[in-house]
Amino acid sequence: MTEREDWMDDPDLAPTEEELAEAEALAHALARGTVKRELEDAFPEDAFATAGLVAFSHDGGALSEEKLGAIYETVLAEAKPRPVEAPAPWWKRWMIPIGFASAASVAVVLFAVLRGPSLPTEPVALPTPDDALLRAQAAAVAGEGRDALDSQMGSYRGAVLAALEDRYTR
Amino acid sequence: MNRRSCLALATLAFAAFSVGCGDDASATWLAQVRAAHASADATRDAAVAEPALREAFEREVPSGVAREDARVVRQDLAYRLASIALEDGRAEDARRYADRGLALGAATDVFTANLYVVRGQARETLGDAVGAAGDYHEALIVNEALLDRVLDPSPEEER
Repeated sequence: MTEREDWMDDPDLAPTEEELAEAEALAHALARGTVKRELEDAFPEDAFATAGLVAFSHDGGALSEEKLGAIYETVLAEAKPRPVEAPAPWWKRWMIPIGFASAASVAVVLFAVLRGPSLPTEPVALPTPDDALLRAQAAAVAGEGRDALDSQMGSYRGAVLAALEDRYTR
Repeated sequence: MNRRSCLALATLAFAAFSVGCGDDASATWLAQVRAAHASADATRDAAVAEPALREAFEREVPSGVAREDARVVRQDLAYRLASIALEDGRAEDARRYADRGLALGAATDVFTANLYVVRGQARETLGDAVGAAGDYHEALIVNEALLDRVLDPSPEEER
């Protein structure tokens, strides 16, 4: 194990996260001459002047073609305008509520037209059976057969069905 | 109109159409009942009349028909089925048809009384004199109440 690795493994001597951030900010400042945006907080207050002096003493502040190209690319990438979503036109914003309102209106009209008369809750008032039918029924109970009853029922049945048809086919 | 609106419109229109069709179903059901009676009126042959009446009796009643109206129609069909079976010498079938009709409910009307009459006759044929007497008694109670109404109608009925 080298001496440097020993130093890095020693928790007392190893750089803190804050120190690492400061070092990165300083390295960026030395390379570009600017403070990296997301490292502004980590940049030590007096270090910018120090970095400038170091850079200036090295090459008189001149930037190489390679550095200029890299900075230019970075600036272009950062300055590239983001696509801005155009606000929806007013007629489009109103389309959904108007659509639903139209659907509801059409449904109400269809309901009223197709439903017809309201569904019955009360039964149809049955026609009153006549005297002859009831006497024929009493006679059938007395054992006189059902022929007269069946005969009378024919016309009464017709009247009952007519009353029901009047209610349900209107 | 956007897609969601179209979907909502289609759903609501279908629901309205379904409800609107309710009365057509009731009218169709009544027409089938009337046709079954006409078929039975046209012949005294049980083999022809009974299937038509039985099909009408078994048919599902549309939801738009009031419960009491359905009872009246189905009890009348049951009465005719029981009568045909009794005339055909099948007293047990007659009693069963009458039972099914009375299971739909009892009211003070001609249809309920008719079922008591025909069930009493079926029971009498089957040798159940006590059961027959009970049915005749029930039939007479309803018949008497109806006669009272006919002979002495209430002011409301006279209007």
